Amino acid sequence: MLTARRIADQVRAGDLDPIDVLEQALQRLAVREEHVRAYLDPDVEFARRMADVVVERLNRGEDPGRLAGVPVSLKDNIAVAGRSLTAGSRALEGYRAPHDSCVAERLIAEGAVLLGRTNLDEFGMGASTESSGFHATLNPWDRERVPGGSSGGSAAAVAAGIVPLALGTETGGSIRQPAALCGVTGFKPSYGAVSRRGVVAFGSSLDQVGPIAAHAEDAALLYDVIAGHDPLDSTSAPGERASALSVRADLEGLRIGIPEEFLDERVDKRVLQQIEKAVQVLGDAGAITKRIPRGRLAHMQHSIAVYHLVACSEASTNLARFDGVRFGPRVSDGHALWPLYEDTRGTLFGPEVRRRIVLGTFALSAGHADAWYRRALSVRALIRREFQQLFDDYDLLAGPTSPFGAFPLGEKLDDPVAMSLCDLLTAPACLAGLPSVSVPCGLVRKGSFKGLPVGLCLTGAQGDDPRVLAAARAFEVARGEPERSPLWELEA
Amino acid sequence: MSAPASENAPVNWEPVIGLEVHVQLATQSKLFCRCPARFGQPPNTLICPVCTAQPGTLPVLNAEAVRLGIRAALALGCEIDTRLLFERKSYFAPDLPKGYQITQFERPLGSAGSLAVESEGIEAFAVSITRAHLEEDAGKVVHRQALSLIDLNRAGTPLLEIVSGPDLRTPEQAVAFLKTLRRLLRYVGVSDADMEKGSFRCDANVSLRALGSDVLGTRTETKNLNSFRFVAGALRAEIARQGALLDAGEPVAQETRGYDPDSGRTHLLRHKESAHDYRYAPEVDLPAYVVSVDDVQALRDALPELPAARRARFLHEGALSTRDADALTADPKLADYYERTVALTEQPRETAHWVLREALRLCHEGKRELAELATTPERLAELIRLVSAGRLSQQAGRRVVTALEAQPDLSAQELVEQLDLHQVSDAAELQHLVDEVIAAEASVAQRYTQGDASLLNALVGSAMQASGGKANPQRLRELFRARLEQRD
Ligand SMILES: [Zn+2]
Repeated sequence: MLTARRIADQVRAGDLDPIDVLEQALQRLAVREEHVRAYLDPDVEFARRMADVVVERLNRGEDPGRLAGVPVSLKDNIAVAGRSLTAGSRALEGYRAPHDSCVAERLIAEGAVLLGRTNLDEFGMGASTESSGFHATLNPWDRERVPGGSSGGSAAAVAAGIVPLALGTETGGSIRQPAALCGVTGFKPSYGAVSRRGVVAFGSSLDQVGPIAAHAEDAALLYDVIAGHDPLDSTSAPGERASALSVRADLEGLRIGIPEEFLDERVDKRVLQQIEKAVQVLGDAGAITKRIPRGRLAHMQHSIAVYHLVACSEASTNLARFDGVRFGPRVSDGHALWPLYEDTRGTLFGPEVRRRIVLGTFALSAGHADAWYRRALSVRALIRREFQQLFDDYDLLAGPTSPFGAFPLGEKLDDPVAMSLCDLLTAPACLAGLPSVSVPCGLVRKGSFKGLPVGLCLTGAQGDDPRVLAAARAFEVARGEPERSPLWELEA
Repeated sequence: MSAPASENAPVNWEPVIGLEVHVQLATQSKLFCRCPARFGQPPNTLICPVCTAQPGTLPVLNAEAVRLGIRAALALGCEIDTRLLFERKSYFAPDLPKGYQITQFERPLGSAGSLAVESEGIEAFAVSITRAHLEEDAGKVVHRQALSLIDLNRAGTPLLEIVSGPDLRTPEQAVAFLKTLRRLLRYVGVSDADMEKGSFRCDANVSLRALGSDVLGTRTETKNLNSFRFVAGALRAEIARQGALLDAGEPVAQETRGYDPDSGRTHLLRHKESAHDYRYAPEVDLPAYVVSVDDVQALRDALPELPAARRARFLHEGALSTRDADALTADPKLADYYERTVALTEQPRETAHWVLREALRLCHEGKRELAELATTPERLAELIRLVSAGRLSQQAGRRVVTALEAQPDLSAQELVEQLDLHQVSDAAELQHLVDEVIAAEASVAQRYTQGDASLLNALVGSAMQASGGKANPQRLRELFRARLEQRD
């Protein structure tokens, strides 16, 4: 599979036909999708229409843009006008988005060919994509295992080599963790860097859209397309954004800290071995790597609790609109209002979503909000400040993305506490609004995750997205092209 | 749980009343989307993905609503919080698309204001304004037979909720406060404050306390009082109901009540125990919206002289009747028109009369704004001076006003000449007129001489008519009297 950048360059030069690019992707989809079940709706006809539009633009002598002819798959919580938008929930089955999301507008404007709606944990709530209201997605490296989540469909589609690029969304780790478990690059931008308009909200103060790519450079390309101020998202950061691709991919002299809090005892030993090797690669490429003794991120230990309180509280209000009154399916005997609410929400929401709504409702309720929600906000502010202070001394922080590799399907599904550990190392950057990337850094050699990919997580200061992506590109160059899943070359 | 209406306030208890008023701000568009904020359109024609809460939509704060909200709060003498924050107030209702209302909870944009109330028949008093905050309105549920239909045209229109302190003591005070508030809001142009359209809605909090006590009693809240008459009726009913309970030694329960204007009673809507837990939480889709101190100052500077002050000035400077002063200060444009006219006539009472009767008549007849009249303050002032100088009768003056509007190129003086309306004061000419009328209406004249004094007006009227409105009515009266009383 060509990189997105090469596809776009060749399409713009007239050396590659966007229709051929798409048909090849559709062939790969036809062969590999049954092994991963990454898509909720491949929406093939829509993709073909988009490719036709790119051809028409070329025929008119226009430049279709920076993603000319590149197939990009979108997580099914990102709206594309007239296309289905389920957010992985039965509560939105059959719903069609009335408008494009801001990111879809920008992709279309740059000539991307939107290919399919990818699977996710319902409303983004989960770390395995098993909580999808429709079906589980399988890890391209081992179909007995999860791809991570909640953007598991997007990560699996890229890791299976179906598309070079996909969009995910992240609230507590939902881009980086599946990217790590599938062996691809996933980037969560700074909060406010990418518009949330048209993205089904989960935890509004945490949610971000970001790229998942087979190559770090392509992640930077996709970031450049989607990032930038949107006046219709009031939380969108004002002003011009620096281009990530225009920053030189160079690690020379970069101060990279490895906080011991990131090397938690709950992190799998063999995952840690790969991270140590990756840090070696960073150092060999000229970065100044240094361990940061335990203590400077003292409040990070509360990240999971704080993350759940904040995200669930916000979700409990964000999901109130799914009441069966204006859109989506309705479960009702047609007579009384409250049974309509109860039956619709009680029947159509899955157990994880119901659990989080109950938790968030409790945390915001009178008499409990001070002890839970407001206290969580206070600790969040402390976590943010601790990170800010670290960036006085370091350009980037490094560590594992996930405490473990891809785990077997069903292993944690009935154990929410075990599942929540997936976010152990990713939730802090979300709480602090920081840009953070997961890049593949090798396969586990031995033990229960043998042969499965490990992700190196690089995190920067708020607004430093180009630098984080540049470091990821430089790492990929220094280490060499990542190992690919068995599906990568699979033909019919 | 119904309470009979009673005109009699309880003897041993003092009512304590506070009002919450929801005012729809007169913006072009809704508070968080670009849909028009208009009344009376077909159902669900003023909606978009944002105000119907489609997944993924985000609110964008309407700067005009902020401006109008601050303007209203400044007119109420409030302190202004320049850092606007919003909260989500959660509850499920079919007309609340998001399942939460975006409102201001912890930090209202205005606080600690007050409103002076002066009204005929009651002693002047002041009411504290506890807070004024921005929030979005809900839609409407319309019940048609077995169906419940939802109209979201109103969902997301901007409201300013104004909360008074518990400073009111009688239903009459409450109504006077609301009328003064409505006049002020209209005057500064932030709302049409039309109760029938629902753009000025009131909830009333009422409690009773023992006369002389400082301790507040348990209060009830009566919802959705959408006319002044209903406000007064509901307050009377609620005061009587609570008084009867307390007299009987029974406690008043903290609850939300409704008012039925047909029976004149209030009824229970819900107990406090079943009150909503609104689970207020920060509206994380809207970061703090900061208004500069300079912008607030500019809004303060742009406020006109407020109606209470202007009314007081008109009363003081012009010795106007309170009725005329009230009427002139109902609308800043009217007050401005009056002031421009009186500056030229220097006769406040006469000018108030001509402006309120004649200029407004022209507006009404021509369906025009004051500013659109051909009868400008300058032209009207010339006419008023002619009348005051005795050159023109009142009656003839009214004809000239009509002519002023119809013939914009001619001055009042020119029209008086064109219409030949110079007042006739010549004694011989008038005497002739009087004799003619007495001859023609001999029986009326006879009844007058027999003691029916009221018939003098009829005789003067006939003479005026015969003169084409030109005769000096004052002189006519004297002549009639002289002629008829002389016969005795
Ligand atoms: Zn709208």
